[in-house]
This record gives sequence, C-alpha cells and structure tokens, in this order.
Amino acid sequence: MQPRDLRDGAVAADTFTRQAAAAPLTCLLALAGIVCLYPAATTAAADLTEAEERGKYIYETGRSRSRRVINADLGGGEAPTPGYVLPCINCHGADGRGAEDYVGIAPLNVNWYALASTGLHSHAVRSHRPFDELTLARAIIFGLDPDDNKMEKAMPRYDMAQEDVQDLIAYLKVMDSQSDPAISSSTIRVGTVLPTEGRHTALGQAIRQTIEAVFDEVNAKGGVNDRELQLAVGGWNDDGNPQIWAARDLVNKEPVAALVSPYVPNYDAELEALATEKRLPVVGPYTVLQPDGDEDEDNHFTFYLLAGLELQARALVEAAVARVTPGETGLAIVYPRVRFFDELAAAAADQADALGFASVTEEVFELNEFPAESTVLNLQGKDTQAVLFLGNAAELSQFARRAAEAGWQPLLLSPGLLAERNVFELPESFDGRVLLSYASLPTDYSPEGAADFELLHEKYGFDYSYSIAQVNAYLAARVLVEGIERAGRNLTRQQLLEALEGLDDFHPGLAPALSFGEDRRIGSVGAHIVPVDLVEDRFTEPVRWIVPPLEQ
Amino acid sequence: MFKPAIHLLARSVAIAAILSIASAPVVAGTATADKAAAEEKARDYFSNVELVDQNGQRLKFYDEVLKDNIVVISFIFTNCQSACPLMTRNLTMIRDMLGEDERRSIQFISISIDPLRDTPSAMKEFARKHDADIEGWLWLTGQPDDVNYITKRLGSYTDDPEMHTTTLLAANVPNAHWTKIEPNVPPNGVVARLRMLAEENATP
Repeated sequence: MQPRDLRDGAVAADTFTRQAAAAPLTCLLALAGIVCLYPAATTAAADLTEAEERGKYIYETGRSRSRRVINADLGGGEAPTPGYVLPCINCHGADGRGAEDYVGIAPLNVNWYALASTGLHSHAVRSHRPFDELTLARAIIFGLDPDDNKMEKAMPRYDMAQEDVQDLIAYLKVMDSQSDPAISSSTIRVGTVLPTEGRHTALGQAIRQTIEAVFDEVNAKGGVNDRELQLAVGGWNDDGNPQIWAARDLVNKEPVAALVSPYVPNYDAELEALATEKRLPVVGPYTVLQPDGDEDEDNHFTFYLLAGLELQARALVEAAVARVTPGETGLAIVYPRVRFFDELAAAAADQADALGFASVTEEVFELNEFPAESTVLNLQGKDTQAVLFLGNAAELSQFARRAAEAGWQPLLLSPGLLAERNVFELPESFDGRVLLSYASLPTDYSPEGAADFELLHEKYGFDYSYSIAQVNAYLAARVLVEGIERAGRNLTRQQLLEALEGLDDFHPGLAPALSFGEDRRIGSVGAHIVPVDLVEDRFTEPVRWIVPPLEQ
Repeated sequence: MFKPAIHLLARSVAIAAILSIASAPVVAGTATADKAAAEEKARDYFSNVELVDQNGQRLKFYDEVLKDNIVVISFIFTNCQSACPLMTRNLTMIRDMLGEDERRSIQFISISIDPLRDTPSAMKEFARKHDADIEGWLWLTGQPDDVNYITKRLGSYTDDPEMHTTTLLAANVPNAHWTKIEPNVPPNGVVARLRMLAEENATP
C-alpha cells in the first residue's frame, strides 16, 4: 500500500511496525487453522461496537471473523481472487480517504460522510446520487453505483455474506474517528496559528495563553468525554513569508482535529480554503473579515463567532434609518482600497438600496492616502446626509474636521473597532451625529462568564494588553470544547462539525448568544449601535441591537 | 561553432528585447563593460525579488538564483496530480543522464505556481518524493506577488495552476541565451540542449 501522502507516512510506518510485530503470532495461528483474532486495533481512537470491530477486520484484512468466505471478482472472467489478497485498505487506505495516484486510478474516499454527502456525486465518467446503506451494499457486491452505473473496473465486486457487508458498512460509518490521528482514546489534539516570533509575539503569546488556560481547566476536571485537550501551535514570523504557510505546515505535519482562534491576518480567505480542503473545523478565527461567512457553500468548515465588518456595516446602514429619511438623502460609503473592503462596501450599498436611500455613492481611497478635503467636497454637493466611514480613526477625524469646516454635518456611521480611538475628539458639531457599531459589548457578559474569565486572568497572569484577542480566544476555546463535548465519545471531525452546527442560543459567557446551523457559520450576526455624546465625551443611550436582514 | 537558434519566449516581449541587446556583436575591448551592462539589464529585468527555497532560505532571484548559471527551470505545484510529477520525473532522469561535472554546473530550478499552498516544507516533501531534494536543485516559492512577478517575467504566469505550462526554460544566463523546451522533447534531447548551452560558456 502506498501511503496516501507523506504527511501520513509517519502514521503508516507506525501502523506497519505494530502489525509487523504482531504478524508471527497471527500467522502461526492461521497455520494451525485456528481463527485468529486480528491484533487489537492499531491506533484505536474511539470505542468500537462489536459490529464495527468486525467491519474493521474485514476492511483491513479482507477476511470475515466468522470464517465466511469473501471473494473478490475482478470482472475479467477469471477465477475469483480471495478477499484477503485485495482488502479494502489496499486501495482506500487506512483512513478510507483513497489514495493520490499519479497513474490515473484514484480510489474514492469511502468514509461515510463522503459516500452519503448530499448532492450529485460526480466522477470522471459517471455521476450518481448519494449512497445509502442499501445502495452501498449493492455497490460492494454487484459493482453498481446508486444510479445503476457500472463502477470502475479497478474496484472488485466482493462476494460476501449479507452480515459481513453490514459489519463493513457499520465500520465505514465510524472509520473517520478511527483513523484520525489527532484523536486517540485519551487525547484530542487541536491547533492554532499565531505569531511566535517577531513584532507580534506578545499578541500570539496572549492568545496561546488563553486557549491553554481554558484547556488546562477542562483537563483538570478530567478532560472532555475522558479525552485530554492538547494544543499544537503553528507559529509565524513577520519575516515576509505568507502567514498561511504556518497554518498549512501545522495541518500537514501535526495532525489536528480542529483549529481554534487562529490568527492569520490578510489570509482569512486562504484559511477558509484550507479548512475546506482538509475537512478541518475552524472555530473562531481572530479576524473581522469573513470572506465567505454565511454566504455560500464555499465555507462549510469555518465557524465565525461574532459579526464581522460586513454585518456591522449593514447594521449601521439599517440604524441610519432612525436618524435620516432615506428617500430624501443619499448615503456615501467611504473606504480604503483593501482586500475585501470592496465587498463589504457593496453589501452595505445593497442594503442602502433596499432601504430606499435616494442615492448611494462609493468613495474609495488608496490606503494611507485619504484625501479628506476632496472627499468632503465630492460628497457635500450630493445631498448626502449619511456617511458610512470604513477608514481608520485618524482618517475619520480628518474627514469630520473638514466637513465641520465646510458647515456640513452628515450622520457618521462607523464600526467601533475602526473608529473608536479618539472618537471623543471629533468636532462637537457632530454631537449626536456619530453612531458606532460593536459586535459585542461588556453588557453581553454573563456574571459566570465574567467571573470565569477574571479567575483565569488571575490564575494564569493574563496581560490585559490584548484583551480583544484574549476574549476571542476564550470564546473560541469555549465553543470548541462545547462542540467536542456534544459530539460525544465517538468523536469524528464530521460529528464535531455537526455538533458545532447544532449550537443554538449558546451562551459562551463573554458574548451575545451564538447560534449556528446547517447554513449558518456566523454565531452572532447582530451589532450594538452606540450613539456618541461629543459634549460630555461618553457613549450614550439608547444602544440598539440590530440584526441586519438576511441578504437576498 | 554552431550557434543554436534563439527561441524567444512566448508572451514575453521584454525578454526578447534583452536577448537582442545581449546577443548583439560584442566589440573587443569593451567586452567587460558590455558584459556588466548586460548583467545590469538582466538584473533589472528579472529583479532581485526574494523567493524562498525548500530549506526556508531566502534567495535574491537574479543574484542568487540565476546569475552566472546555466539553468533549467520548470513550473510546478505540489498538489498537481498530472503533469508536474511526470515533468519532475523527466527532470530527474535528465539530471541522471548528465555527467558529474555537468550536474555541478547546471542549476535545476522548480518554481511553484501555487505559492500560498506550496510552503517551503511542502516543496521539500514534493522534492523528496521525487528524489530531487538535492544540491543543485532549487525548489522555489514565496509571497504570491513575488512569485507571480517572476513567473510573469519568465513568460509562464497563469491564474489557474491547473492550466500551467509544462514547457521548460533553459538558459545560459551569462550569455543571455534563453530557450524554451517543449514538453514533448525526450530527455536525451533536453540533455543535448543543456550541453549546448553549457558549452557556450567555454567559447570566448
């Protein structure tokens, strides 16, 4: 058997050694004509039922524990080959995911999640409906897919007893928990991606410390379903290499069952793609950009916790309606030319159109070259009474000052995390004309959550300089632990994914309630809209919680 | 001595310009100055953008990869299921057919056209799989902007890795002599071509 790829080389070698060690005994027993039990599971992770265990034996050896004959028919008319010559594992691999093969035969992924996944299954020369137990049994015995297409010649037809087929299928359903090297019977290893060298080391350290603190507390109480949580770290440096390399290398070299609170600024889209490619649940990336968010099928594996900039921008536009009359005013969207900002501006513009704003003007500026004066000049003439401002705090300040000088006081809408710094230094003439958005506020903290975080803070000596990152890491770790717990003892990545999807109105302590779902990958989609009092220099009431309507 | 026809690179008018300058008749006595000028020109064109080899070393593309070398360049990505492994296997065969001295003097270069996925370790694994993680063979990746810049300069840029070129580039860099080797040229044909490029150096 060829290892599926080199990443699995080490695992394959390990498995091989154990099997080799057990081989003489197995062979002696076989010679003696005694039914020999296959040595107990190689890297047994979860506990198998008897049927699953028998199925595993068939998968790996091509023999039946009950000594019933299994034959493989290659379809060439020659005599049947004994099943043990062509066991499933030879082509589909120990993890069932098939093999990368350069000569054109690509054995398919036979994990149940792949066989039964919804939608049309398209292969080179045929396509078919998802498998169910009946059609899979038929495929194994008769070589027909669920739509009656003949399967590839390389896949033998197996003459085997109905009971054995059932056992085999029972095993295929759970094999991803067996073969996942990140999950053993006593541990589960998850990863994160952080700066470990260079200018951002302290931030990375704060995130790591928080995740480890949550894990330590859980482990001290016996772990999750008797499994200890372990953290593997993929570290990046600000040496100019793409940070996503750290994520790739981590996932390729060190088996992890999920990523928690990874931080790869500017590579959010690539992280989503990596998660999808590796079928790896990613919980709570530390980012405000959610490239695919809830929007399409491309993001099935990345779970964002709170509303990112796009949702916040849309909530701000929604909030503007209480302050200006859309039909009588235009809305301007001012933003820097930065990756993804065009998309969030477009989403906000759609929202403004839907709300009936008289016009929507987009003003894009080059990063760090904000032309405050000309922007004000451009917009002031257009009867614009609301400006969604997506530049930074300094740029907002320049803009407001220029506008005040020109005697123009539009409603300023801005995400707090961009504009909050020095917001009270905006001209007083903008008093009551500034709204900031926040995906979460301390008012969302539950007493228990706040106390727990405070406890960790004292016990582990958290440095509060990076509290936003730490809160994110805390939330991500809590959500992950909850998902792992709900997935149960027979943990697989697929079950973890489904458990995360199943979180509904889950209160992680330091955030609004989170709800995911089959088509939902952002846990909290609303934003607090906070008015700013520029006379008293404070945030004022009423703070509104706005959930932007779903996009069409 | 027989001078092989200069094969211009498709899609790369600028390289054509360099070639015509560098291969213009050299007047005796100003040869050194002209050589320096040609080198400067080539450095400007190919740039010293830094790429990263399979060991994580950052290399200035012109000064530390190309300069003074006979090179053979291929474009690959490690997730490639079809052409890249075949092409790489061909290249290892080609390398095996060369004499020891030739192997020392000809720099093999494989450049990733999927740099975000091809980390240096992924490149190393791929190379190792093909017994090609060896001295004299650079497996280069890097920031996408940098890698794309280089592949564009080499006339081999593509948006879609699946559609990438399987054409090899071979060059005698000091002579600014670049040739394109189509994928259907058999290994011994490639060897002959490399030998011709290498021998150019020997003649004044």
